[in-house]
Amino acid sequence: MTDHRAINEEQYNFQFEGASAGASLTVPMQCSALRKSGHVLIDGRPCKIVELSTAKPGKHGHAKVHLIALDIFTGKKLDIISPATHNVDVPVVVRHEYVVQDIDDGFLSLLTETGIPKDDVKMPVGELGDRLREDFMKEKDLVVMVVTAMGEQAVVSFREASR
Amino acid sequence: MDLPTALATIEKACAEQQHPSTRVQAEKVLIEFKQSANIVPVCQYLLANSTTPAVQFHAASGITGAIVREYGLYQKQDIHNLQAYLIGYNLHQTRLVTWVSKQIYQAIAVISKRGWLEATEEEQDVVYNHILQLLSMGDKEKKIGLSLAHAMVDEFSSRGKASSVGLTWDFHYKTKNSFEERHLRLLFEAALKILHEQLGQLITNQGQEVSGAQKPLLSLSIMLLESILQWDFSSTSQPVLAGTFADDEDDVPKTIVYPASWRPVLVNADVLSMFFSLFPLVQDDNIMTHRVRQCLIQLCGLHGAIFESDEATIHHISGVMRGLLTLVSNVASCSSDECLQADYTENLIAITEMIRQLLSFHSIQTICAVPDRFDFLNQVALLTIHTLNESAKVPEESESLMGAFDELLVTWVKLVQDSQAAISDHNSPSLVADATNLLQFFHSISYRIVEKYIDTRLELAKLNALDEEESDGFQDWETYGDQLISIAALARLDPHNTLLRLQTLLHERIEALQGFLNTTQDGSHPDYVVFLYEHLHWLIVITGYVFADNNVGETALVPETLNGLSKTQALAQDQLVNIFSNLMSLLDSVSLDSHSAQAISCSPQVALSLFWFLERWVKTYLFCNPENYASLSPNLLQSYGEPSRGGQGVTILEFLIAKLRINFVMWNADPDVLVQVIALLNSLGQRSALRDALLRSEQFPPLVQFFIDNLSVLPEVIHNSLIQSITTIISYAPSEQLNGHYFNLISTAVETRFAAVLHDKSFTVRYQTPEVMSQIMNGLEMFNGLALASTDINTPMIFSFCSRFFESFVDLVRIYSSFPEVQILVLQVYSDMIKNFEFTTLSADQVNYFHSCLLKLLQTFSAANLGTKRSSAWEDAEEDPYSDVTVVLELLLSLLEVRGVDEMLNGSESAVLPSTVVFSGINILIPMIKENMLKIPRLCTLYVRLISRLIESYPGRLIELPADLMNNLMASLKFGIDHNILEVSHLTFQAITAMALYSCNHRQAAAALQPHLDAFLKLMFEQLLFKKLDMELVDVAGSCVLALVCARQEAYGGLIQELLAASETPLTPELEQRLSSSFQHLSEAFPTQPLQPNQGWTMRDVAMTATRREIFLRFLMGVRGVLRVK
Repeated sequence: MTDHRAINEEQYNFQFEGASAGASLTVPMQCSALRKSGHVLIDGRPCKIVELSTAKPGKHGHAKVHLIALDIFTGKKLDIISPATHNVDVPVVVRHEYVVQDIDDGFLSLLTETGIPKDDVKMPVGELGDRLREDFMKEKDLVVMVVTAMGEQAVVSFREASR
Repeated sequence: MDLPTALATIEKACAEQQHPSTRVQAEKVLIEFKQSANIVPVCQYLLANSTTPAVQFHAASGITGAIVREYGLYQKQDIHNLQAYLIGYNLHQTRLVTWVSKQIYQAIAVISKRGWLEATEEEQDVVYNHILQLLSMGDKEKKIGLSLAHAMVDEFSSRGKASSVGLTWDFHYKTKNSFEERHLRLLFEAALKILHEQLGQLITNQGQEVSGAQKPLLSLSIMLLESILQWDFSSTSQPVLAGTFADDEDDVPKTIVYPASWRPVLVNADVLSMFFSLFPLVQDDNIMTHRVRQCLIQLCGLHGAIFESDEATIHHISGVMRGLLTLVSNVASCSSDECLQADYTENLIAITEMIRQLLSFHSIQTICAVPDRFDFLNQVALLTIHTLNESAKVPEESESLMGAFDELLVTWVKLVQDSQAAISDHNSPSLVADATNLLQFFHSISYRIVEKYIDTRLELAKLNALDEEESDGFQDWETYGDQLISIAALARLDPHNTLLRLQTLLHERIEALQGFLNTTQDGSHPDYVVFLYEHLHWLIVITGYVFADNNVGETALVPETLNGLSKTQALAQDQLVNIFSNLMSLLDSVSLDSHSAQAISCSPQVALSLFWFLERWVKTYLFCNPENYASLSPNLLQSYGEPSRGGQGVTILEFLIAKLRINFVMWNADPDVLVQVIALLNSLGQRSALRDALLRSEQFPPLVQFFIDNLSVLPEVIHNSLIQSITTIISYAPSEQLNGHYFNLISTAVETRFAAVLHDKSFTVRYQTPEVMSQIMNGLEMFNGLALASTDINTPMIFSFCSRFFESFVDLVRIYSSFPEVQILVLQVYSDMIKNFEFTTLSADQVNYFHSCLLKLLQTFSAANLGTKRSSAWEDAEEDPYSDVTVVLELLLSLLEVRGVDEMLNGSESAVLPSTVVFSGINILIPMIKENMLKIPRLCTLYVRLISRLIESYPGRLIELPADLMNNLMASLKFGIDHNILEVSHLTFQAITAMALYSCNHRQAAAALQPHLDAFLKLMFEQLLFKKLDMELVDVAGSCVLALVCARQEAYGGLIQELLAASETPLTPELEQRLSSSFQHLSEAFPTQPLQPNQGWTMRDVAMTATRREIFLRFLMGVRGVLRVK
C-alpha cells in the first residue's frame, strides 16, 4: 500500500509545524483492530471508516473485514475486503484550526494560533464554501478546521470564533 | 345537462382517462359528475345506453355514492326498484366484464347496507330473497346469486373489506351484527347446497380436468363458503375499541370460534365429508384447492361451544381423522419427484396445519377417547419422517418441507407434554392409564423422529457448508432454536438411544478431523473437511440442546431423564460424561498455536459452537449442586462437582481457562468467536462456588493480565464487554484481599497505559497521532467496561479509581475538540457510570464532585461543538447517525432516572443538583436536535422519553427555559401525540399529564404554559374523537384528558362545540343529543378536587380507576362510533 503514497516530503514537513515532522505518513494496524470512525488508507487515499463489518467466505471460513470508507478530501466512497488478520495502513490524520484573515483567489489567507500566516489552503468548494464565503462577507470572525493527511490538506468545517 | 349529452361527456372522459396528457382533467370531470346531485337516473341511462366498461363502472359507483349521500331523499320503494334494476341489469347484459359486474354487486350491497338500520325485517330480506330466487334458477342466475351473496358478505364484514363510503363506525358495527344474526348462516347453507350439486356432478364426471373457468358455480360457491368461514363473529370474539376499523391487510386469525348456533351446519358429518371429497377433485385448479384447504383448516379446528357434548366432539375428531388419513397417507407416500410438483408443498403445509388444528384444542382425555387415535398418529409419525427425508433430498423445497416438519413437531411436543401433565396431575386412574398408553406410543416414535432429524441435519450439511452466501447474522441455534427445543424434548423421552447415536456420530467425525489435522501442512481446507466441520457443528448444537436448557436467571437443572440415565450407568460407560469428554477432546484438538498451518485449517464456526455449548453446559453441569436434586447422579457429581463434594470440577475449570486463553489468541481477529468466549467467561462467573474457584485458580490472574495487555489488538466491539466481565467477576471475590489484588491489577493496567499517555510531556503535540489516539480510546473503553460492571457492591471502589480521572476527561474533550469520536467515548463513559453507579453508596461530597465534573464536561462539549458547520455527509453514510446526539440523550435520560441523590445533596448549599446538570444539558441538547433526526425511530423515542421524564421530574423548572427552547420542546410533544410508534404517544401523553397537573397546582407560575395546554387539549380531543387510537393507549390518554380538563376547565367547554362543528359526520339533532350526553357522561369522570388537598393535584387524582375506565370507554364508544367514519 505504501507504493500509493504520492507525496512531496518537503511540503509535508513544512505543513506540520514541527508536530510530527519526519514521522511516518501511515502506521500499520491489524485489520480487525480498526475502529468505526477511525481512518484507513484505501488505494492510497486517506479515508474515514463509516461501516465496518466482518464477513465470512462460507460458513467455516476465516473472518474478513469489510470496510466502507469515505475519502476525507473528496467524500468519495471506497471499500475493501481484507482478511481480518492482515495489516492495513492507517494514515496519520491531523486537524488544526486557523483564523480566517481573507479569501483570496481561491485560497484562504489564514493565521495560526501563534500568529504565523498560512496561505496554501484552498477555499472549499460546494455548500461549505458558499456558507463560509457568505459568513465571511458578513464580517464574522471565522475559524476553519483544516485536515491534513498523506500530504494533502483541506478545510472540513468552520465556526464562528466565539471562544 | 340532458341525458345524451351526459353520456357523451362521460364517454369522452373515460376515453381521455386512458391518456397521460388528459388523465387529470378527465378524472376531474368524472369526480365532479359523481358528486353532483340527483345523478341516479343519469347513471341508469348510462348503464342502459353504453357498452363501454369504464362508463358502466363509473355509473355503478356513481349510484353507490349517490344513494349513501342522498339516502333520505328516496322512497324505500325506489330503492328496492333500483336494486332490482341492477340485478336485472347483470342478468340481461350478457357481455359485462368482471370488474363492472363486481362494481354493480357492490352497489347493490352498499345500498342494502345503507338502508339496513331503518328497514323492517322484510325490507332487509329483499336482497336475500333475490339471492335465494336466483340460486333456484338456471346456472347463469345461480352464478349471479353467488356473486351477489359474496358482495353482501364482504360489504357487511368487519375484516376491512367493506367499502369506505363515509359511514360511521357504529353504523358498520350494527349492520355487521344484524347481518351476522339474520343472513350469514342462511347464505352459508345456500352455498353448501350449490356446492353439493356441483360435487355430485364432479363425481359423476371424474377424470375431466377441473378449472374455475369451466366450473364457475363450483368456484364461486367455494369462494363464498371460505369467506363466510373466515367471518369475524361478533358473538365470540373480543370486543374492539369503538372507532377501530380493521385494515384490509390484517391477517385472518388461524382459529375462528364459531357460535353454538352454527352447530347444525358445521358439526355435521356430511359437510365434513363433502369438503374432504372435494379436496382431491379440485387439485387441477390451485385457487380452488387453496380455498378448500382453508375451509378444511377451519373445520379441523372446531372447538368450544359449538360442540354439544364430549360425544359430539369425539365423533367430530374421528370424522376429521378419517378424512385426514387418506390425505396424510397420500402426501406421505409421494416420491421426491412428486414433491417437486407444483402445489405439493402447499398441500403438505396445509395438511400439517389441519393436523395441528385438530390436535391443539382438545384435552388428552378427549383425544384418548377417540377410537382411531393410534392409526392416525401412526400415519402422522410417518408423515413427520417423510418431511424430514424429503427436505434433505429435495433442496429446492427444503425450507418449506422443514416448515411443515416444524408444524408437526410442535404438535408432537404438545401432545407429549399434555400426556405427561395428565399423568402427574393425579387424574382418575383410567385417564392416567390412557395417558400412559399414549406416552408409551410417543416414546416409541420419538427416537425415530430424533434419529431422522439428526440424519437430515447431516445430509443438509452438504447444501449449507459450502454456501458462500453471507449469513443473516444469526447462529443456527438461534434460527432453529424452537425446533431444537422441541427435538430435545422428544430426545429426552429416549435418552439412551439418542445419546448413543450422537456419541457414535461425534466419535467418528472427531477421529477423522484429528487425522486430518495431524497430517495437514499447508493450511488447506478441502471440501470433505468443510463437511466434517458442518457435521461437527450440528452435532455440537443438537447435543447442547439435549444436554441442557437455557434458563435465564435460574439454574437450569440436568434434565430428569438424563440424570436418571446417568444413575443407571457405570462411570466409564456414562453416556453424558463420555460425550462431554469427546467434545473436550475435540476442543483440545482445535485449540492450536495461531501461527501453525493446522490453525489456518480450523473452522471458527466450530470453535464458536464449542464455546456456545460450553456456556450452556457450564451453567447446568459444572459444580452441579446435589442439593438441587432429589438425587443427583454420582457420575455427574464425581466428574463435575466441587472438590468439597469429592468432584473433579476444578480440573475441568482449569482446562477451560487454558483453552479459553488459547482460543482468544487463535481467534483474536474474529469478533464472533471472541464474544462467545467472553460469554463462557460470564457463565463461569455467575454462580458463587464456581466463581470463587475461578478467582482462586492460579491461572486466572495471568489470564486477566493477558486480556489487558492485548486489548489494543483485539477488535473494538469486545473492549467494553471484556473489561466488564472481568470486573464483574472480581467484584464478587470471596475475600477483600483477593478483591483488592485483582482490582489493583486492572487499575494499575489502566493507570500505566492511559495516565502515562495523558501525562506524557509530548501529549499536546502527539495527541493526534494514531498510536496516541488509539491508546486514549482503548483507555476510555476500559473505563467504560468498569462503569458497565458497577453495582451496589463495587461502586465505591470503581468510583474512587475513576474519579481520579474526572478532570482528565474534561481535558480530553477540550483537547480533542475536533474529534467527535473521542468526545463520544468520554460521554459514553459518563452515561454508563450514571446508569450503573449506585450513588447511594457514595458520600455526598463524592456525588457532588461527580456532578460538578459532569457539568464542566457538558459545558466543554458544548463549547467545542457550538456553531460548527460540518461539510461532510458522514452522518448520512454512517450506520449509526448522530451518535453524539444519541449519547447526550442517553446520558441525560439516565441522569433523570437516578434515584435518591437529591435527598443526599439536600442541605448542602453549594451542591450541584442533578436537575442543574440536566437543565444545562437540555440547553445544549435542544439546539442540536434537528427535524430530520426525529425521523429516526430510535432517536425520536429517546428524545420524547427524555422530554417526558424531564417534565415529570421537574415540571416547575420548565418555565425557566428560554422561550425558544420551550417552544421547541412543546412542538416535539405535539409531534408525539399522533405518532405511529406507540411508545412515543404513550410518553407524550404522560408528559402532558405531568405538565397539566403542575399547572393545576401552580396556576400563577404556570401561566406561560396555558396556551400550550390549550393546544394539547384540542389535539387530544381530536385524537380521541376522530383519529386512530390504540386500545393500549386508552388509559394514558384518559389520564391525560382528565388532567388537561382540570387544568384548563375554561378552555374545555368552547372547544367541544368547535370540534364537533368540524366533524365529517352531519350532525342531526338525534346525533347531537347522543354526543352531548356522551360528553355529559364523561364529565362524571372529572375529578373535582384533589384526593389529598394538602398535597395538591397528583397522578393519583387522574389515575384510571375501574369506574373511570368504564366511563371513558363508554364515552369513546359513544363519540367514536359516530364520529369515526369509513
